Amino acid sequence: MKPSILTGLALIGLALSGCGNSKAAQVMNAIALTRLAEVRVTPPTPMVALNDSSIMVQMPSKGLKFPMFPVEQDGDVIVWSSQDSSQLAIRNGMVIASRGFGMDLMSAQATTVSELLGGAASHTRVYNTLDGTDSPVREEFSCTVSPGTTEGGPSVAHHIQEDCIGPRKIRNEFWIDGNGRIAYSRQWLSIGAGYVIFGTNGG
Amino acid sequence: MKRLPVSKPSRPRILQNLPLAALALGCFAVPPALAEMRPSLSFSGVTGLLDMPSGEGQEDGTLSIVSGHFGPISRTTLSFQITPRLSGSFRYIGVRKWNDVVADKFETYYDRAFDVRYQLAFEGKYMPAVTVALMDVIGTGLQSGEYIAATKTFGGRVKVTAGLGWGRLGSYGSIGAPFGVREKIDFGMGGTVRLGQWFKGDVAPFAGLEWKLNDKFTLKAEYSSDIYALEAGNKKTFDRKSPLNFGVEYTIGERTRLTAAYMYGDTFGLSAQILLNPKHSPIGGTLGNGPPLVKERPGAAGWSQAWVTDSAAVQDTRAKVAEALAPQGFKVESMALSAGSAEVRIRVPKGENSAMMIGRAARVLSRVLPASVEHFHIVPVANGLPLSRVSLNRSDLEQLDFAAGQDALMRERVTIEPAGYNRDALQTPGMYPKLTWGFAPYFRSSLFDPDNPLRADVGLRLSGRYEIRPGLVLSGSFSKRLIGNLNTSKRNEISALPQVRSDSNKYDKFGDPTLDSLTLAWYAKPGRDVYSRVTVGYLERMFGGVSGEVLWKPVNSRLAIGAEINYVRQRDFNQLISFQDYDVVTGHISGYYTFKNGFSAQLDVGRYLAGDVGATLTIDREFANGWKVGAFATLTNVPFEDFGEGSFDKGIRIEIPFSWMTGMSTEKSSRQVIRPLLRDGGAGLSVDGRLYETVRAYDGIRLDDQWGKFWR
Repeated sequence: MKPSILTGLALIGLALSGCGNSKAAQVMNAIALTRLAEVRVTPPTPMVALNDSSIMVQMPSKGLKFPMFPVEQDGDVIVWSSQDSSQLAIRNGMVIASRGFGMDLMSAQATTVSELLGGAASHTRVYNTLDGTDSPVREEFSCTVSPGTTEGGPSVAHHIQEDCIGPRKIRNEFWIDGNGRIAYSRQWLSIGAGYVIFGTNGG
Repeated sequence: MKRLPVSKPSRPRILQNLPLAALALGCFAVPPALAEMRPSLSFSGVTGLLDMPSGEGQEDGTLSIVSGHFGPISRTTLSFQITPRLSGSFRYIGVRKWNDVVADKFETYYDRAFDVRYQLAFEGKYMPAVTVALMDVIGTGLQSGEYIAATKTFGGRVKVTAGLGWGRLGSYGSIGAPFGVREKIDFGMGGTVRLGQWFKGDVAPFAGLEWKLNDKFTLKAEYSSDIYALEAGNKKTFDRKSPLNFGVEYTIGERTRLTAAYMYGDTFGLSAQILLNPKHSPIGGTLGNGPPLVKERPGAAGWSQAWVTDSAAVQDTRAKVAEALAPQGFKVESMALSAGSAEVRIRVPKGENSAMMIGRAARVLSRVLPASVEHFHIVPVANGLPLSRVSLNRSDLEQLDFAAGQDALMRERVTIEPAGYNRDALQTPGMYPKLTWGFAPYFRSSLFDPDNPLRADVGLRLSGRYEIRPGLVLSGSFSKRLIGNLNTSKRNEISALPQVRSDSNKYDKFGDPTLDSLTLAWYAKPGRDVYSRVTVGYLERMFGGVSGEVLWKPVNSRLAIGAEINYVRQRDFNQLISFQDYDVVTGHISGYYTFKNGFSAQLDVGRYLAGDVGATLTIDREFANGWKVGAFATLTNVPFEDFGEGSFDKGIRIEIPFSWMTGMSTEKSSRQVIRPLLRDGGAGLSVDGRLYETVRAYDGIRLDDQWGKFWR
């Protein structure tokens, strides 16, 4: 009986405590609920939408679907933000970074639409992420382009798939409209977040 | 920047917006991984089968808690995989029915044990995983033994283990004593290493089989070489009818497993196992809360500098900076603005990733400062101390904000220097003097008292902090117990030393309400790399007096050296304003070193509270995300007999950041110190605001370790 209470305490202690005071140089282990009560969650950075366009983003790995709004433009990069201030940085339809998607894509060396359409023999993609301890991880992939085979995107668009081999196999898919823009796509973010699927109408 | 190898793929997680209230770690259940057969944990909390160990180890960095019970025997074990090969386990053992059959003063026998395991070989195509281990290496030795075990996996579904045990694990089915007689050793007060016994005496084989049925269930069978001489033999707390144990393990999630077993032909057992790894957050990283973004300046160059001469414009800029930094948790202490550069001193929240905070501050500045300001100098401040000066160019932020590998590229262009005071900086109005206070519940516990291994109090605590001017702080707290049983301890410790800590139960009994502390502290930075602190007042619950400290810590150095001297007098048990007669001068010279592989060491040499002289060594393993697991030990000139049970002071400390558990950005973490025993030898003074942890939080070493989050 007692040892099981002890386990319970150990768990509660690990889960909750803020070790009472730093004065716990003792068996007396002040696990301070007091500190729990003080937990300060940094409020999301206030974001103001640039215009009223939006994209609908799906994250199949988490079963989520949510709209995002443009909050910053820097040259050809647009940063989209969700209500809870998760962000995607997209350059000409190509995802190059995420923030707030769990294990984020911190930065990427992606490809371009002309490279996809040109059908070059192979190209390199680099994904920079953080591992579980917040240490940077750089992953390099070798990718080839071929006509898309799966259903899902707009039927009028030109469907291309990009198969990449590196530390794992990933497949990005793009539906490119008559103006040479990516109208719809499924793109890899990270191990933790998986893929995002979105259409760039209006963006 | 260091690049780490790719970690094994983890699966997506569905836990978003998880309420804090549901923060029981075992709840983070995720479907188990496919294919791979993971090393399981035995009833005694080490990698193994049921009661027998195996040749494997856990994934590097794994912290596990196992609560294993069969018959009258209960064990709760905390283990840490210190390096890929080395692991340590601390175990608390209770054996019930101790005096049921054979008379004894104890109804339940309690003991503690510490095991060390070293993996000699990892599993290969033909090579089995091989581990050698020492059980109960510094305890009373009643649980002690040594073993070498080998484990091989076949076809991803079957694991076979075979081993040889000495001591406890050589007590049944012995095949001889190849290395001589295992001499009985008088363990005295326990806590010492019994080197002479290792691998001596009878050796016995043990073996086991694991068969993974599917992702949820694994069957286990083993042949045990532990005869339970004391528990089953002498004390007859259970009847060991057979050496064979059978069990089934059920995987609830990635972090939780349950095992049920039929043990020794006599009794049933149950074990719950929780595994945490700093590398795998239950949430899988920070959710939501996107950071501030860089705002590109219009045009190329030639921005107007006229604003600097317009005092209204300068005033307006100051107000904008402070307002824009506030949502990130920053308070602007002071600012020095010129046409081309800005130095902003910000009070930083504790416990956040330091590089992330600097990055956020820099990007906020890019949004609000006039375009002519190209050079940013950010000075993080804590307790009025300027911790470092991080200088960067605004154009680099603009150029790299979407560049591949931006963290390393940015780091190359940033300089981290020591910070001094800036007489020209203009203080933010209303920062000093400032009173902050809090009123909150507290929880306080006492572990491992043989009369009652768990006692606890819940009460209310009023705390206040009055910052008179930068670096000068009056603070204190006062608490009142509501319910609890900490005051029921009847132990009357007798010590050969001045009773500086062993009277702690009297402080619980007579100290209600309690003046926890009331101090005036003065923090300063008298030199380029030198920090100082003087604290006067009721420093901690048992002592009051004067404490002075000096720390030498160059901002980009892995080495720091400190000196502390205190004159303190023991407080009355009622913990209000009066003192007892005992007073002492205590202090240490401390060396701190941060290694490149995430380990750090601290050595304190000096005089302790009871007047004893000696040294404390602390080794920690720290991760960039704030996880920290460490151990400490103190040896002084107090003979082991005088120290009493345990022989010398030692313990384990664990720190887990809340942000890791919740995926939300919070500055709090769970900090635990686990000491098997608290005695009077090697006891140190506990005083708030010691310099090293504060100063190193934003030094060049820590910033580099955490730099991966500069752009987060």
